[in-house]
Amino acid sequence: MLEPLGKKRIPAPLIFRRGVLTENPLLVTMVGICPAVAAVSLRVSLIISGISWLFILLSALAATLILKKAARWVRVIVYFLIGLAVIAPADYLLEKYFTDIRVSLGIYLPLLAANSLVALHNEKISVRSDLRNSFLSSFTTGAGYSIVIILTGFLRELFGSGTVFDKPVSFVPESQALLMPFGGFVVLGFLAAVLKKLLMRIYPSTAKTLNIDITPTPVTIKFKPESDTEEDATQIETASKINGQEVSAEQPEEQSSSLQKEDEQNEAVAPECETDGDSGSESGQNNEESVEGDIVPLEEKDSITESSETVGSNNDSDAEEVLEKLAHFLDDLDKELSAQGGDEQ
Amino acid sequence: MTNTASKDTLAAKEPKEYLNLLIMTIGPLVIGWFYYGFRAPALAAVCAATAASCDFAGSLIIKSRKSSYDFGALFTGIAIALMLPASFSFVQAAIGSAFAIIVCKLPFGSSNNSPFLPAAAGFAFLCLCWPDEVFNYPQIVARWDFLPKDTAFMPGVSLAAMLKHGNAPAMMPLTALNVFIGNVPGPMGTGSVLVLAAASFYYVFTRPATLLKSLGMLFTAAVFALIFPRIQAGAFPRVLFELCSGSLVFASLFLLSDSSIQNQNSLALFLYGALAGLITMVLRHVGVFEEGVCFGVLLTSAFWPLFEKLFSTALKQTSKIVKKASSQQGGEANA
Repeated sequence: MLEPLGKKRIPAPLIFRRGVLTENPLLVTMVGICPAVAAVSLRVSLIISGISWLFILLSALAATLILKKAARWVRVIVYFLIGLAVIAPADYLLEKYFTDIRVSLGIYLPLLAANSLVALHNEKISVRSDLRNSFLSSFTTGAGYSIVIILTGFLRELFGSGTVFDKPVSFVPESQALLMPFGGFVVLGFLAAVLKKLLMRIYPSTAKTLNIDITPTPVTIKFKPESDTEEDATQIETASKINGQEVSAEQPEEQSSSLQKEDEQNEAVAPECETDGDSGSESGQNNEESVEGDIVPLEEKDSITESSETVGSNNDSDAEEVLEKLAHFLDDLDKELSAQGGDEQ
Repeated sequence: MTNTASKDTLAAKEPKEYLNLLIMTIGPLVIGWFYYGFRAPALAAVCAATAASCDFAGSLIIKSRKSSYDFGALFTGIAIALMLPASFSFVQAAIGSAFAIIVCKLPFGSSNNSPFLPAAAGFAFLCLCWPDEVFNYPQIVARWDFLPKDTAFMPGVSLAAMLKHGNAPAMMPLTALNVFIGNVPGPMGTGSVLVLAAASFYYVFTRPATLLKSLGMLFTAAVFALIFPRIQAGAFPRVLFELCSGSLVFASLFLLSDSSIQNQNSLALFLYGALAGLITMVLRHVGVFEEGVCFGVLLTSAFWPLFEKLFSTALKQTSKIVKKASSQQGGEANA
């Protein structure tokens, strides 16, 4: 999902939008999730985010300035070494001055040195970009990463321990399960859902290109060729009622008028054609089904109906022309034959 | 958990299935009312109302429209309440129900799509959050009161706790009848095996396949109790106490009956239940909590795709072999 920035001068707000929102490493690309599990409180999450941010920045600068011509396997090793150079002193200081925080971080602090986000971001972007783009990208990616970690830590501390910065919040019941690793994943999942919903609203085109479209796909209509009346023929059914009839080029002329009516009604009907509750999460699947099966997406349906109308009308006019030509040819043939017969006689 | 086609058919069946399950919970609810007073149905009502409200609100937020209301949320709420002690806090019970619906049901569309059983997940969440309160069962004082009363519950010792601590002498005064009818401290609606067995008669006539899973679970638990006893007692009391403690029978009948786990293969169903029983008993032996049936059910549900794959392949291979054999026999007869 990460795209290299290259050496073109890309506006800083666009890079910021990519790093924090549309390509957020934790909520959209889902890279480097492990430290989020350790973010059980605001204090811990601030430390994790600070170390991670510094690590991302330093390794990106190293990748851009020094490591562009190095072999990939060398670069990856250097990233990890930079990580260790950041984390080892931090570990020492935490153990000396903030022992309780170091204990709560556990194995996750050393694991930060092997953060997959750093390797991925540097290999995809930093190595292939100039200094400005690389710095801005790593800065904003680190910011997006840190914001989510802090938010996760805040929510888990609030609902898990009933405190904020170790100060009790009386109106929130403590659910200690949220302090367990699965609590981190649950919080991340809901944050990802919220971000995707926001992205779909604020940047719909970007969200679509990133394949994070969670809006239900509108699905449309079928015809009832066996219906007697025009009213029945124009009946529009939702996707759940479609039994396997597709729009074909052999639609009778009576129904071609209904096509136009349905085209007009499409926009009104489409929002009502959402599938059930899981439609949001399974929109991609619905797309596949609609292409393969009987359910036709709105845009495709439009093209199909248009083509069916034109093909149908062209076929009729062509047939009439051919028949006329055939009739003329037969008349001419008769005349020639009769003329030849008269000559022979 | 299941393929798309079966999901569609299951989704159509869902409301009826859950309505029937809801009807089946009336018996345990009444017995809970009898033993623990009005607080038992009140707790169930709170859980059910919370679950239904969360389901409704979530459906509005994610804009999912259903052709008919499924009673899954109501059943989830009541099932969670039945596994709790009657003295459990209303707020905490509501949080458990809300977790089951918001985290384990709504993101997946419906209970059939969810890889977790919402009721089991909700109870497991409560166990992790407030273990002391969840396993603090009150003593039974039969108080068939129809109106809410301000009654104080005295702490009691459940069968599961006695088994966990290997407290055989304390269990000996218990009679089999008391254990069968649930006249022992424990979860408010899952202790009375007699009532649960009566409720399970519904399955005999409607979904006998579901009983295979339940039987598999109970059979394995019984065998496990015989081989690895937790108390020094005779074979019958060992098995009886193990089966009647906690929510084992309730889970085997109500949680394993989840409609997304359906298969025509009887052996697969029985083995699935057996695996659930095995995991539950292992958790009872080595787990932190005195009751691990919900964790057992949740873990077992992770194995269901494997069961489906294994048994569908086995069935295909068997049918191929049978066809080959029959065609060979036919060829020989013709010759």
